[in-house]
Amino acid sequence: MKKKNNILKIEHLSVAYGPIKAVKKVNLEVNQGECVALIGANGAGKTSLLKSILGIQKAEKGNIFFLGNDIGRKTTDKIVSLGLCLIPEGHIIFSSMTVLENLQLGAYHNPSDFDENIKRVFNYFPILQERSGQIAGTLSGGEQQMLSMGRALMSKPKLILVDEPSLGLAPKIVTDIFDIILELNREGYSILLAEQNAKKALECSHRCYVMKTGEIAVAGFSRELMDDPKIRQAYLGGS
Amino acid sequence: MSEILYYFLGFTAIYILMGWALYLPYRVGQLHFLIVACMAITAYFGGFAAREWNWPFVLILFAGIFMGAVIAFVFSMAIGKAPCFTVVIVGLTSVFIIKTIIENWRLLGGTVGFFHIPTVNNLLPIIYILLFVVGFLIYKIDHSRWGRAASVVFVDSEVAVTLGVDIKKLGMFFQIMACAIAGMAGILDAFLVNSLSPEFFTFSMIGYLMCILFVGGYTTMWGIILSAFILQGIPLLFPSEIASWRQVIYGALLVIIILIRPEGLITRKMLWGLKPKVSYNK
Amino acid sequence: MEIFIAQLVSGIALGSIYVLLVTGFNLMLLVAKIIQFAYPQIVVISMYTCWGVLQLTDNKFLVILAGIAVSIILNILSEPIFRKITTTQGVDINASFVASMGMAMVIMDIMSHSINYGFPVAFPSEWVGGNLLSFGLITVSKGQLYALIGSIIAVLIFFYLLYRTNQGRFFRAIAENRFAACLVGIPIIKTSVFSYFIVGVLGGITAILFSMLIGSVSPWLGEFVALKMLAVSIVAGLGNLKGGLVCGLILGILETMAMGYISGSWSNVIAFVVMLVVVLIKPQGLFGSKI
Repeated sequence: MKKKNNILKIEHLSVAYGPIKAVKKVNLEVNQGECVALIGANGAGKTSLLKSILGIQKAEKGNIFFLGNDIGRKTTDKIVSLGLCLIPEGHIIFSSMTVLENLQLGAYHNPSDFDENIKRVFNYFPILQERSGQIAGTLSGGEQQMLSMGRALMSKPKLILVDEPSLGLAPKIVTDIFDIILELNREGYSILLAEQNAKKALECSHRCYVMKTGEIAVAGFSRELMDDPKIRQAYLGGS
Repeated sequence: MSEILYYFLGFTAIYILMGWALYLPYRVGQLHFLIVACMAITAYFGGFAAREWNWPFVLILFAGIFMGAVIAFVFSMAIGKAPCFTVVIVGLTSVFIIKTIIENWRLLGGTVGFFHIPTVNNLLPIIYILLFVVGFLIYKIDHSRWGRAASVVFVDSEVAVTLGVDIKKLGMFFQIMACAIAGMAGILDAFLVNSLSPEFFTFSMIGYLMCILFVGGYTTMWGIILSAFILQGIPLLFPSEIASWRQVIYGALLVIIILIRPEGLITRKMLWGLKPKVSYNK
Repeated sequence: MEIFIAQLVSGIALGSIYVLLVTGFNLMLLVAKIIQFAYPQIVVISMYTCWGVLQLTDNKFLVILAGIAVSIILNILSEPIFRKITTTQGVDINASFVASMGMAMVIMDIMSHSINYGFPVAFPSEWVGGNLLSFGLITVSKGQLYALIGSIIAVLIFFYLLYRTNQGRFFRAIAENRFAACLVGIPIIKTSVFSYFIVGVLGGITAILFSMLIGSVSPWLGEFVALKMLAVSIVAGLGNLKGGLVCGLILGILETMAMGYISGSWSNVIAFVVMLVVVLIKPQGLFGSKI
């Protein structure tokens, strides 16, 4: 059995906003080279979980280990410099700056390999190279999402967290985005993907956790979950 | 009645009126400092009309209210819908301009001051009757469609537009009401102290009114009553050396209240607690 | 004709101080997303510090250092207050305005109480520099020239810092979208404090140049100058750095010209009336607001 190289390990994590318990005692792990999906309805706690991994939201209880380091107490900028990054939902970019400036900002923690990284990003997203001098706010929704992803890639991360990449995008663009996620995973990036679109998420991931009102309801290999009639019923809209 | 008590009650009432005058436009998010300029204008007008032209008090009172409303109307044509910062600057510059005009106009006493305004009998009861009338009016406005529309505009003006609120008209309405009240307050102030000085209508008053509004609570009209009494009364209890540092205390209070209790002393939560509970059972 | 030129030079010198003030104010608005009403008061207190240190020593370098240091310290002290406000109420410019107004009141009153019983103090003539040109009663002092040149250099440096350097880009990133800046890994608190530091430096430099220009300080100088600076910022358009540049200069020239031909306080009033009219006609400012 191949020894699994553990990148992210979350143990008994609880996140609360005052009296509201968004995440309850979650156990989750991501191994090297995996694409792990986190599916669940709106409000299930996926975004809160991702935010607490990055340190944007402090966890109440539990531990988060990244590459063996305990990052529960660290500040976000330290965590990002260790090689973790988040592509947030809603294609968040700096709209008054140019595409190039957005990408330059992405390289904050990794200025040395800038040229190499930007070539790679332009490879994935040739449209960004075309529009590199354009103001980011004038790009279309799909292009902004690509910019958001490109920005994350500039830091040459070891683990990419992706939050609802398909939100608000036309179906064709959604397919493109997921193709890119698959491509990235094939290149060796480890990915933790939070998605409402269970079908797409299961199609491109190795393993999957199903989240429901803050807890992990089901966990397993994506192929098996896709074939499970109960899961199909609840999350994939029937047979 | 002792002099101290007389002036305490009189000034508190006037500051409550001015506090309400600041409160109304802030319901739509505008800090309308023009009220201080209006107060200055009507105060000097009233004092002058009483002393030089012997106008009766009632006439002066209505003239003051009318003047305030007209001034506000003219300005609100331009700034009815303007962002808060613009309204603030307009107010501040107007206060400054009026102050300079008064200081340089010998007819109005200049920097020395304007004195010997005739007294009015039973002024204190009159002031409080007016206070109740205005308070009642503001209560009615707060609980009318204008009040509700204002609450929406305060939170998100774009949503308000989609709900059919005419923001400019609403802004104009509140600004005119505010300056009308300020006009009244100016007249009352002139007759309370029987003298005027340009030093009174200045940035310190603006700071003091801000304190009253934000310490009391800008979401409701009641907090202003509370804070006016407190802020007028507490300095009377302290020796005069501390009193001369009033500005520092007001400034510090303003910063502190924004930090620890931004909604002010009397908050919406408190008011909801007082309302009768809605029940859906028959 | 020479009088006209002398007035023009004085006007540009005064205008350039307004430009510095507006630029610092706009920087706070753009980067820290706050309205720092107390910024002119901090500048005035730095001017007082310069005067104070000048009483104790002749070392010009020390004086400059002291002025800048005070400005930096006061600005950085205000940072936690503003940080607390912007997180509890989202991006609420009103809250920062109210808080900064409170700060301004505090600073101004402390100044009126503590130094010289609130009366103006004058800088020694060697600080201001002798007269460079004089035509009868109208003079242009060396101080005004220093102020002019100093301001131009300072403004150019700060524009460059903001738009052409990496650090400037980080400032703009935080100003634009705090969350995205966080994700990219920019240390928010450190960079915010740094931006306050930079504005503090700018404020200190403004104070020094201003004191060279007018040769005296008084507590209500802050009030006057604050109002003019705010008016310029709104006439130019909030957050509009280039607009601020133009309008600041125009105000300086307008004011000095008026002072040459009309008596003191009325010239102030004229400047304000003009600005009031402009704001009423175009509430968004002449060059458009950038926030």
